[in-house]
Amino acid sequence: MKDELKKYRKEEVLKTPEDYFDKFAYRMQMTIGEEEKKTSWLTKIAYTLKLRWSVPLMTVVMLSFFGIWYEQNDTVQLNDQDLMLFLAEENTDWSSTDELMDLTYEAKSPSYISDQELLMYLKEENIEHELIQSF
Amino acid sequence: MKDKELLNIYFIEGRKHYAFNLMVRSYSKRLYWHIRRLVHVHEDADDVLQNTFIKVWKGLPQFRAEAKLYSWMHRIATNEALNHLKKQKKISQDWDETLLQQLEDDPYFDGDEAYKKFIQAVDALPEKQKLVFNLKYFDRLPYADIVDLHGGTEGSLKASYHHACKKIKDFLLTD
Repeated sequence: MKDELKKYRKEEVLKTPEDYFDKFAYRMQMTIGEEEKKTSWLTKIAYTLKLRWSVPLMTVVMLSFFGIWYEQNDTVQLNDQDLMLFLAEENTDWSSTDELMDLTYEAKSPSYISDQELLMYLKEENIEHELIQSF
Repeated sequence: MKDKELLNIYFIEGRKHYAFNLMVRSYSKRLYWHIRRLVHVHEDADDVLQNTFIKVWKGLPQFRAEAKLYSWMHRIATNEALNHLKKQKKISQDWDETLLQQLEDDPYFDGDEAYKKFIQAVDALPEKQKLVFNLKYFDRLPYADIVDLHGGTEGSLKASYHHACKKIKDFLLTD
């Protein structure tokens, strides 16, 4: 079967232009030279674009980072009303003033409860506290 | 010149162009005929060969000497040729007709009618069978060398070649 196909193996049917392979090698050298120029030109553009965009991009990234960081670390200024609201929302049963004081300190909020009010509260709750002894 | 020597020259500072020119001179003929038997027309084969060597030039810095230089180039050429054919088939409504027309228009084809029919038969083969058939039939490569170029086992390549021959014979007998 394979012998039947042998007659089609005619080398002379397909041809190439004269000196094609020598000319091709020369043409390839030229093409590679152009490719290199194109590549170096593209590299230059890429480098310029990199510089042009990387500085503003880094600035935006850094500003965003510090903005978020500042927002997260910003001190919360609570007044008594906020505190009351918080207590109401949390539905907390305050058994001692220590918890209230802790909460006040945690929130880093200046307390507007006067000493007099605090003393009254302590007396009502029958809590012994060094604050009573000091008065 | 051996692959290793060509690569050694390529990696010497300032000798890249010289080494590449040597590679083109060493392998362009072999690659051209491999491509030409896939795309059939000289002009297309010339374009594909040029694209192949541009890819070779771009890929050479990453080329590792463990692989054979020609096998690597042959794979690039095969992919380029097959992609070229796929594109052509996509834009052609009747590929058989287009192929015949292209052959007739090609000044570097002598117009042999029997060969035209034979080319049509080869072109109708599935990709792998076509590649194996071309390498075995035209280049007379041993199966071991075809394994190097396209992978697989000698047994599977023999089967592919056998099926290809049968299909071509059937195709030629139909008309």
